[in-house]
Amino acid sequence: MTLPPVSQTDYISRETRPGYDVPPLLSVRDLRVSYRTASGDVHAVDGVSFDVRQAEMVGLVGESGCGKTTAARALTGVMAGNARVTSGSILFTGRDILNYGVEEMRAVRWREISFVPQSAMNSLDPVYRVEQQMREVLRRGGIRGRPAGERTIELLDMVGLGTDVLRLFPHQLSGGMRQRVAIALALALDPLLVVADEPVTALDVIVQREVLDTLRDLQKRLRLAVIMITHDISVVAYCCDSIVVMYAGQVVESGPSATVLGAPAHPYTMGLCNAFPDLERAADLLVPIQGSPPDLHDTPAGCRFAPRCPFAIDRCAQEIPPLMETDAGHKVACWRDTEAPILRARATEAATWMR
Amino acid sequence: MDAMTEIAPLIDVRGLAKYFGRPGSKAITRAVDGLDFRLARGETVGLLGESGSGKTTTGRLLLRLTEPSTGEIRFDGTDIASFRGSALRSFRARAQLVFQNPFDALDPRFTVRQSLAEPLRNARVPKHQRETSMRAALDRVHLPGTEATLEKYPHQMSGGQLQRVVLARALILDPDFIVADEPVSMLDVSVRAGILNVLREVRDALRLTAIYISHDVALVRYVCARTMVMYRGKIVEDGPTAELVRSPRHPYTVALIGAVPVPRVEQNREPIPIRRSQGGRIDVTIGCRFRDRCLHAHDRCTAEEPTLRVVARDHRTACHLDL
Amino acid sequence: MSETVIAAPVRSDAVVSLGRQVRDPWFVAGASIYLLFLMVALFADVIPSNPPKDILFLADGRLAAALKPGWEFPLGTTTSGCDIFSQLVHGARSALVVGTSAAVVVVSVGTLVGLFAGYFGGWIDALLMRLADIALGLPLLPSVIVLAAFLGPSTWNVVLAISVLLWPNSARIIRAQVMSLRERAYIEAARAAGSSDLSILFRHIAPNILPIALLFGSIAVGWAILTEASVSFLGFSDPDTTTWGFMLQDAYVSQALSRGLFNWFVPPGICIVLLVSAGFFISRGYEQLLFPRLRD
Repeated sequence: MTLPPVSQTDYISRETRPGYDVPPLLSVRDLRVSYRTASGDVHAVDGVSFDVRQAEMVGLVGESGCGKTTAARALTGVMAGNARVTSGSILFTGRDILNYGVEEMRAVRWREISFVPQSAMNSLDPVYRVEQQMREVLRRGGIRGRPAGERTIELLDMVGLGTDVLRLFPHQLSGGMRQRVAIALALALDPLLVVADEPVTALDVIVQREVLDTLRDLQKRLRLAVIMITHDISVVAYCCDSIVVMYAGQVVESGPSATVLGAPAHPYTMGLCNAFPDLERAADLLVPIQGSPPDLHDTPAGCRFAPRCPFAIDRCAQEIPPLMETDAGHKVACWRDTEAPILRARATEAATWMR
Repeated sequence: MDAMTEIAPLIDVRGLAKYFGRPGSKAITRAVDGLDFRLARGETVGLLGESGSGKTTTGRLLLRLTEPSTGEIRFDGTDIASFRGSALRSFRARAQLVFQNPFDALDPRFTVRQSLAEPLRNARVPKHQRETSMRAALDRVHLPGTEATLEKYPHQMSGGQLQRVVLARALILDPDFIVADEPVSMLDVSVRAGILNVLREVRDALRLTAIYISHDVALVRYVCARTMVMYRGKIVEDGPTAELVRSPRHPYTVALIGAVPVPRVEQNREPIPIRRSQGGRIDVTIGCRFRDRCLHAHDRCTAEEPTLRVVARDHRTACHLDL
Repeated sequence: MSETVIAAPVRSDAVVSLGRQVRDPWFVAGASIYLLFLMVALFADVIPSNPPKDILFLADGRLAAALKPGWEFPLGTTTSGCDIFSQLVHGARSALVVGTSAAVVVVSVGTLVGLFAGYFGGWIDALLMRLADIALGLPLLPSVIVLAAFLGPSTWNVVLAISVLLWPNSARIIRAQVMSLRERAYIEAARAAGSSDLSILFRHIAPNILPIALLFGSIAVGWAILTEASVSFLGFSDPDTTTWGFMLQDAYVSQALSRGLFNWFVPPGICIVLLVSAGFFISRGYEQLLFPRLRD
């Protein structure tokens, strides 16, 4: 699917023009990434497509091994040595960044797309003070001296930190503060899109809430688009506008959060919702999804979730269902998507999931 | 508390404290700073708190994996610090630990059989009985009690299976008491439910006394009838979980419960009633240690440390206010 | 994917790892060299050659001195009429004996000390490490010489002296390894399961550090041989045994270099180099196994 060429001014201006349907900021189509290992190729990402609109927070949800981190790293161009993008396209503001050379990608990286890694200790150098690290990032963007100093204060204020943090070393900060510094670093050069990899997983509940509130606030104020990678549906429900659910390297469902969580159409999403404890509805029994994800070395022929799906039919094991739009913005990859309401009702019964 | 004191509690903790750092020096960490509580037989209690609250240290103190600085822990009436030799061995057989990281809780060089055999061997269980015990333990955690399972190495199993083995190992000697420290935090979500259900089953079937340490409120709600909330080394609230979640009495608990997100888009996004942690440390030896973050703090909170007082049936809280 | 990567520890799947190891070129090279010398040493008596210390005479009665390599004497003879080839072959035996025994003692003592010091800490650790410091503080060669001089020049005294001075190296590394292993969850689990300290030490910790101990062993063989050769070269070893170091000393004293008798001192030199290198090659191959870089 080719998008009409778009001028960058559409995205640099942060005002929306009423009546003008702006194409998505980021458009990933049929992305495939493989890792070359000693025991063969692992197809970690196998045909992933999703969109991110300007100022939208998208939750990329899935369990370990589903390929969400790999897909996100493909966006920033920073991948493991043995990872290869085998096909697909990534259109960012209309430009095909997948085929960008090293220099072009460097210009995009951090200035337009930045990254908040999973554990902030990974992005903060333990031997440098916060101020030095922030200035280093700003220097890359050509900001030095006094403007840089002002910008660091501005950035810290944006994430709710005081200037006393500047002269501290990373180990002197608490987990939540470090994560906020990592976010500040990601915002340093005023990017359009921030990719946050499990930004709150390692944090306590109260701190998690503070960091999520900070991100929501920044999203609104700076018209920032965010891709939040997480395995936690509650986090996604709390702050993401739309959700992309991944399983075994593919997207199984995507759409507005309210729809995907309120009326899931894919059995995996239904199963996940059952497996998540809801504090306000504590009497419900948690139902695990039996089995485990497939080995991505030899990908099975049909739907990847079929072996664990209580609703699988013969067709499921033979053909991979394509990602299709069922209603406004809501896409599912399931042969039985038309029966979703019935399946949903059955999915709420624990017996459906027991083998 | 009254109903429980009739029958002797299995665990009785008084004035438990653990300090790290050289005595007299300024940088002492008061990890656990004076705990008093009792656990009745068959009770499942959650120990809730953030990192740095002292909950993990408490768990280790209860199993005597570390020695307290002061205070007493009585197990079935006897002070655990007094156990030596065979008494200690017997205590170890009766009180077990379930670890957080299933990938590290088993020796990577041991098969499942060898890992399960270790506690059996230490308890001098005769060889012919060991196989049956092992298979029974695996059954209880819903793992196939087959030769194939027993011969597996940790790296051949998934996180969920590993944690079941860890649980099986903890249960193999039919202990009276288990401490589970974040038993599911390192597992995938769809797998957690399975382990939590096993924990619930075990709770009902074996009438185990158990303490579940976690920072995850939803988990504790799912498994534990009673919960104690810890903050910076002290218990701030202790009561029936359902009540604690529905109407918390301590300002910290209020903030904690309010901060938990739910997996639904329509949820409370109001700012939680707590001051942001700036990382600065107040002097915890005077007054209430929550005062720097509490929205309701006043002079009495700085002057006097609140003690646990009863606010409802089986429900205590350590706060000067009446929320 | 992250699950399985974390859970795959070092050498848990013994068969696969050993198979991979056998294919590693460094390991193969090192092991072959060792094997070659081992064969030579074992069959030294059977390999047709003259007794190494015998002074030989030619058919016409003259001393078979300083002969060039030829049919009868593959590596020629020394200036005193001894068969160089035979000395080389018998030297292999003594080199391996010294090297292996010293390595065994160094590794055993070092491992035991490392285990106890690392696991128990406290005064045991302090005491053992101070002993190690003393041994490390002494200069290797002079101390070996002094000890050999005091105890008398015999192969076993040399082995003893080397062991006494080389054990701290392995002890320190093993101690560090033990200290990190001690903190692992499964060790605490073992303690919670009621296992005694000694049981934990020898059932859980020792098997995990054995690979490193063996690694040290292969390096220690090389060091021991080198040290022994140096000691012999300086004339402090047992004059009754034939060693490569002794050959070198003999050659030096007889001014073999200025006489151009390369066939005399080059072969033992090469042999020493080969055997010491073999130790390093094996350790190089081992290293890949013990500390796999995150390949994927």
